[in-house]
Amino acid sequence: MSIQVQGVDQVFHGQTVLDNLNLTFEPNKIYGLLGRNGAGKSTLLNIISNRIPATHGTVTLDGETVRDNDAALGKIYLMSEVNLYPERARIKQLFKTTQLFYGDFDTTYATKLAQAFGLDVNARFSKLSTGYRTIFKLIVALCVPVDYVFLDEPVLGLDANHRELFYQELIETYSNNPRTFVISTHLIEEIANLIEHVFVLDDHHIVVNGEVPDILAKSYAISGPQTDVETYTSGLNIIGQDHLGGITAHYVYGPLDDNRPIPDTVKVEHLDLQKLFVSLTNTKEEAAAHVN
Amino acid sequence: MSTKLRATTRYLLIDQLKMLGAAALTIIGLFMVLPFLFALVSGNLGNFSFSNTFGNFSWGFLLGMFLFIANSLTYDSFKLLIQNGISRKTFWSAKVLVVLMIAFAGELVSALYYYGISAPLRGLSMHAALMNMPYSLYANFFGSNVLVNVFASLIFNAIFLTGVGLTGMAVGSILALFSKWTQRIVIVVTPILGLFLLGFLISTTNTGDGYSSYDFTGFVNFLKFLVGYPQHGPATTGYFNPAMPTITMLIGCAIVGAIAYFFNQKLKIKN
Repeated sequence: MSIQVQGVDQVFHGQTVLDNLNLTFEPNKIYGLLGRNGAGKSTLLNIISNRIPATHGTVTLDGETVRDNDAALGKIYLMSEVNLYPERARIKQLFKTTQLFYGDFDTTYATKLAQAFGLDVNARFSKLSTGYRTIFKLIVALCVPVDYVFLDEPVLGLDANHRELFYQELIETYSNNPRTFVISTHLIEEIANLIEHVFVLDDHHIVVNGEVPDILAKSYAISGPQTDVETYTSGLNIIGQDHLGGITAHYVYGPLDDNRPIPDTVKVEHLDLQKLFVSLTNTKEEAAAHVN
Repeated sequence: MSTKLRATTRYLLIDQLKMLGAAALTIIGLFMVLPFLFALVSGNLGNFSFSNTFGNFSWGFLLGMFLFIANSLTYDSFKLLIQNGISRKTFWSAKVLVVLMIAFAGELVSALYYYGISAPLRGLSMHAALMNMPYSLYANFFGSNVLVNVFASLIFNAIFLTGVGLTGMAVGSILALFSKWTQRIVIVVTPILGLFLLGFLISTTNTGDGYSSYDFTGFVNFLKFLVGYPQHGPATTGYFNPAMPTITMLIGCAIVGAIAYFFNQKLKIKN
């Protein structure tokens, strides 16, 4: 019981976007899919939901390909940044259309959420602002009877209040009816406490794939006087560094040397998810800009 | 029929029926209003007759145009359906079913209008009305029973309309692969290229004195064979054999249906 992405390559106009990607989405888990702009997150989600074909590789759900497979595609919902709904359709009609294709759409919950978010269900899709289009798609995503919900930029255009409301509803619906959510967003701090497992996509590859507590347990910020920090982190996997005044911070991803004593002048802390992400995905030029 | 196919067929059918209704109302409005205005402006109101204008209305033509245009609109339906977990194969199957339903039901309605309203308004008998249609070549092939021949014409026309709808699907599936800009270029350039090609063919095969240096006998015989030209005896209107054009249309339907399926499989979401 899982979605398996195996050996997926994607090449657009001779440029590699995804290179031999392998990952698994297990049932009833909340995933974070993180990556910088253009990293290929949306492409990956489009391939999983059979919206675009992969150049190579397969995507299977419970062992069956998702390609041209109604049964598999009926267990997946991708809420994407791209609007695929008819512009002239009214929101309440789109709820009915979703019910027609997916089956047991939770209309009661959708109506409740529409009220909570202040979404006018009699409005036409074309008349909605960017934020309300996102809200409409989020409502569908939370009410549709599928096993795997993929949310690509789920809070695009939402104000802080609506974002807060969405996160609350996500937790509530997940508690009442556990299913897999995959959240792809740039607002890492906001989802850091929600997600259980994280994938970081960088340079066409998955560079981090693990449970969030495990990942953070081996992510360190080591700060102190430059010489002491450099001596302590020598030989470790330094993924980034900052200098401020006389203080140097090295960011390390991976095990520390247990045999190496920590100097009194050096402080070792765990990184948060956003800092880890930034350090892992910074380009050399960006990393150098921090070392001044 | 699977639940998904049933749901998709239902959705596309309702969508197309709404479009057909709107198109029919618009065309009827234009068909009635424009001749009336023309008669009014030109001072010929005394010669204008609503019943004549209404009687001359061709449902078959409207249906053919509609089936081609409605089924060439591919991408909007595709993006909604793929958003809702419907595969390309189901999309194609549902569209074929909708084409069949509208072609056959539409042809039936069209025939009811033609023989029930249009023909009496024009003072034509059923047989005379049948002889006024493109099917007139085959109008007496099944004997003197006009109902049998009318029924055969319904099937013949419905198959033709199905072919038109499937051709629309094939063209739409191909166009849907391109960006809007490229689509416009293709739509504008293709007919121009076609005319140039036709002109080129005529100029290369024509000697200038009205005769051709090319021998077209084989081609003409093949065309005669396709339209069911009698192999023996006189070629009399009404006694051509409809079997060969029917088989040709069915083969054509299969070919354009396969082309539509092939390109339908290539559909993808554009950014």
